[in-house]
Amino acid sequence: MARVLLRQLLVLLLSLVTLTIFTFSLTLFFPQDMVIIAGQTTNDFGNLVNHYWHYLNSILSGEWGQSRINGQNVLDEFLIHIPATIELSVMALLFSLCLGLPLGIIAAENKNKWQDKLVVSSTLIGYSMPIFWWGMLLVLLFSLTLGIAPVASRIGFEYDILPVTGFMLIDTLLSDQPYAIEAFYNALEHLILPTIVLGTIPLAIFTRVTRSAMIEALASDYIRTAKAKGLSYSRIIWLHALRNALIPIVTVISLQISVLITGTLITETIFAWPGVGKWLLEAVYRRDLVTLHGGLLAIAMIVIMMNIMVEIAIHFINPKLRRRK
Amino acid sequence: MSNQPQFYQQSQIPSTINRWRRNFGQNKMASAALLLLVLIVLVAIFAPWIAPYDPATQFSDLKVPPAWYDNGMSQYLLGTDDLGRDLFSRLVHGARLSLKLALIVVVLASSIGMLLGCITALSGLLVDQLIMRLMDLILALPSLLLAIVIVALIGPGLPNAIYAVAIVLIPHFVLVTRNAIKAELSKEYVTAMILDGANKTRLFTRSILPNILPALVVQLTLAFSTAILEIAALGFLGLGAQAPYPEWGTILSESHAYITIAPWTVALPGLAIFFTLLSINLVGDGLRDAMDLDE
Repeated sequence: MARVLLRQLLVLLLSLVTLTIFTFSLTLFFPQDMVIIAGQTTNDFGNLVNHYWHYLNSILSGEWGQSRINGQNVLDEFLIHIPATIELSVMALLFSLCLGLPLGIIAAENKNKWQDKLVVSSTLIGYSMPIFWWGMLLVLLFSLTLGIAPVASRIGFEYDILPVTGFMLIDTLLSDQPYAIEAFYNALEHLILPTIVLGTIPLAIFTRVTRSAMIEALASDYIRTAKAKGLSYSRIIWLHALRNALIPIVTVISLQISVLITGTLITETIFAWPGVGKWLLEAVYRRDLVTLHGGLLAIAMIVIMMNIMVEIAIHFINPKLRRRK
Repeated sequence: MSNQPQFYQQSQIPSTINRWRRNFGQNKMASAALLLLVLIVLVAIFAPWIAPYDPATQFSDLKVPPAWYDNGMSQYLLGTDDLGRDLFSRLVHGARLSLKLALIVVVLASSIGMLLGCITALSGLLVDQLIMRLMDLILALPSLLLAIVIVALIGPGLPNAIYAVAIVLIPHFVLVTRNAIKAELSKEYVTAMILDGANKTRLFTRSILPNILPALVVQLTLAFSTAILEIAALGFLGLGAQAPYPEWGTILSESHAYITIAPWTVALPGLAIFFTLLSINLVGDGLRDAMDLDE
């Protein structure tokens, strides 16, 4: 196990070095805009290596330059905006997993029957859905026509919640206001539509992967053995087949992190969600390259670290890899 | 030959292309999607003749609903938008624009990506590792975020958005091409050809290229659908095609503000994007199944 961790740590280090070289080279193209981060021009440092070293030092010490929007340190700004995005992404991930796994299993159990066909065609529809349109349709139907879901933002304006953790669901519960519980439900209501919009594409992908992995698992010999042993049907599905189907599913989760972040850029625009996506787009509209540089760097770091974590998780799940210490 | 009596049972072994075609034809969903896709492409090609009006002409009839509504007008089949432009004409011209832009993106990305993929696969370990690490990094980054950053760096607008989406798509082509070539190189028939004395060009054009074609074709269809979606997304965020252009994503972002008063200006352009993406994805899936590629 220690060897796996060490190896992944090395991969992480290498990826971060590659990433910083990549972002560093971006700053070289726009020296006037990026002067705060990269120090001065390469000439002032003698050579590129020294320049990069200086850049790396300022990144590590948390000096990511000042945002053109409000003059704050970009790293601090990022940390202010990330909880809203994490809250939304985690909800979307949970939504897509909680719905995608059962749907995929149902489809696999009833392969080529009507349930399977229904699930497969729905995943195709979900997969081809342009989410900016999907979001607007849901707002049109549930908020504007039926009036059962809020149109935008994280919480109703009548609630005054002190940001402690930045996660609205936690902050409302921590709040000592008399309406704390009410505010919690209000925040939850505000989460529903954005969660569905953001979770649609991962849902389609999880369902597809679960279905094919379960079909493969159900056709294998050990399932026939389990059936012959007279195990109950639910035990076979949930304990034997799903455990083996889990490996491709977990692998796919790591790919969804990118998809989710792409999705937050659009979802946060539609629902006026004050997260990283909206913050970055604001930076684009103002051509605030310092903020964009910081946002890209931070998000890429998150994606890389999540991928490494999934990689380690797979080592825990997959006995083949676990034994090969 | 054919009118001679046949004494032996003759079984005809179909060529690979014919087998693929037959496999594809048996997939009803994919065939239907191909039909829809052909229809969309035809609409795109003949857009100036199909569209009743110029997409930019503003009529005095503002926000007329589609013709099947009670207060719709028959001369505007799908209604008009907030500036009185005929929505049907805009969508038809939008098909032309969106498909054209996606085509440019895919041609750009695929030519550079495949070239890089060939170089990577056929060169030594160092170059291979260098290019692949860079590609892995770009693949790990969220595609739309990277496209947005590139657009922010080189400035918004149509040509720049095309470059951005193309750059984002390149790594996929590099990866697919490289992996396909690597997989072929390790197969025995390639060794046999080398032993037969085939030179490198012959080896590449006669044995490797035909065998990696299926993977590339599937990647091309996938890239086409991604390109349409990303261009529309950039248009929606106001970073791609700008206002007067009838690009689908741009139309959607313009009509976002009128979602309560003129919901059809939101629903219909999205439907156009959706059906285009759906048909391309179905055709791509069908091709993958027909050519026996694994996912």
